[in-house]
Amino acid sequence: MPQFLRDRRAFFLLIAVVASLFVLMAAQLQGRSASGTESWFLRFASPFLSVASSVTGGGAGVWDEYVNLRHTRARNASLEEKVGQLEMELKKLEEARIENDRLRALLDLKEGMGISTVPSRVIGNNSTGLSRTLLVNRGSDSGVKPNMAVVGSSGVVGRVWTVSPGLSKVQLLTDAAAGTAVLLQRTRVQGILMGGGTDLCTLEYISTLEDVKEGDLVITSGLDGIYPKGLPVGRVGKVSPGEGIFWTIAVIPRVEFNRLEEVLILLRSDIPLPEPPPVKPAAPAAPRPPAKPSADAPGRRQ
Amino acid sequence: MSLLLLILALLTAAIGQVVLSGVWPAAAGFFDLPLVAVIYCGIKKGPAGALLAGAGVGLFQDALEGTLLGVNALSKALVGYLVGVLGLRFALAPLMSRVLVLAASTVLSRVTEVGILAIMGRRLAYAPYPHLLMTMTGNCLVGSLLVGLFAARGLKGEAMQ
Repeated sequence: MPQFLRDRRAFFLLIAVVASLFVLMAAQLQGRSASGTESWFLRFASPFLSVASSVTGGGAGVWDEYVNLRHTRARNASLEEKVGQLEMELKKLEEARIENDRLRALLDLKEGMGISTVPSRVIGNNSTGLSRTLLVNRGSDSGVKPNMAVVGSSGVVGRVWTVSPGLSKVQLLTDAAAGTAVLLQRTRVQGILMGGGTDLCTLEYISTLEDVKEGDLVITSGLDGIYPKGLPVGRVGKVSPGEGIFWTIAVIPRVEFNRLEEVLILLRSDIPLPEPPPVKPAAPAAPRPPAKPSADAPGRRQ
Repeated sequence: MSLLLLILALLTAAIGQVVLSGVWPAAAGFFDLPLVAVIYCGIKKGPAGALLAGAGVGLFQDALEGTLLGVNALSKALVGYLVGVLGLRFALAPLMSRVLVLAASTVLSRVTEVGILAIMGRRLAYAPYPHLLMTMTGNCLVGSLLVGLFAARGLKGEAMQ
């Protein structure tokens, strides 16, 4: 090869390549197919492309899974947080629903009695000692006076004992010093319901000649001038012959005093009663034996 | 680097570009791997080798991408030849030179493609200039990295021999 050509070999090669390529392109533009060349390249590339595609496809799949997993994790955390918030919201709503039920029951009771009442919230509860009292958030400024009846949605709670502005102390039926005029709904037999400083009360002065059965409903008789007649108080638990001519009758109050949250104070006090004596500490020497209900006595009802 | 490895690198670049354009189109538009391979050939093998490499890989790329057969081949052959000629006269191994060559080659390649298509009465589906800037940046980054990497391996291989 001459030196001239050898020195410019690359240049001539370039011209040849460029010319060939122009011819190829021009041929394609004139409608002549280059599909032979194209298909040759494609056939040649096909196995490489298949391998590369499967590898990258797998890699892309793994990547997608990873990205999805990351998103899932973040989404999971976000959803858990949301679930926590919703659970809290649900509990609040459930609490509101329960309160609504209680207040509705109180409202029904209020409307049924036809007496002016003061709804009140229980803010203190001493229903476990011998002296059994509640503190409620209504007092003399709301028209509350001593000896007014206090009722819950399921029955009688007790009576207002002492009053101060914005606060009242309520003596429960189960207080050791409490006494309530009651009668048995079925037989209309009257008696006095005495608190015992326990969760139960005793129904006294019922003659053994009278018919008393476990489960009998005890209601107020209205004779004490504190409670209107006909309010449910409790059910007869255990009935046993006492000393003398009276039955010893245990009564299970309908109201669960340690679960009270709202009560109604009945603005009615027909008979002014003397102020209750100051509560003395319980004398351990003379405790009253609590009357216990029989095993088959009916359970409490709210 | 042997001729076989060079051909393998060119094929890998062309196939890699096609596969990448299917898997991750945004990234595929960011650089032109066959062009980088041709530039490397130009630096290593001189104008004749780079010219043939560019024409071959360009045809391969045209066939795979479905464009007018010869467009990529012509632009890459031209770029390979010019880089090879430059490589005979200047040292293109340093980073700065490499980046300049990559940038200029990208511009030349793209301008050639657009020019050929214009001569052939074809229109581009996109405005070439933002795309060109993007590809130039990507080629400079990827190309300087890959060319540097292969150059370092080549030096190591030569030293061992």
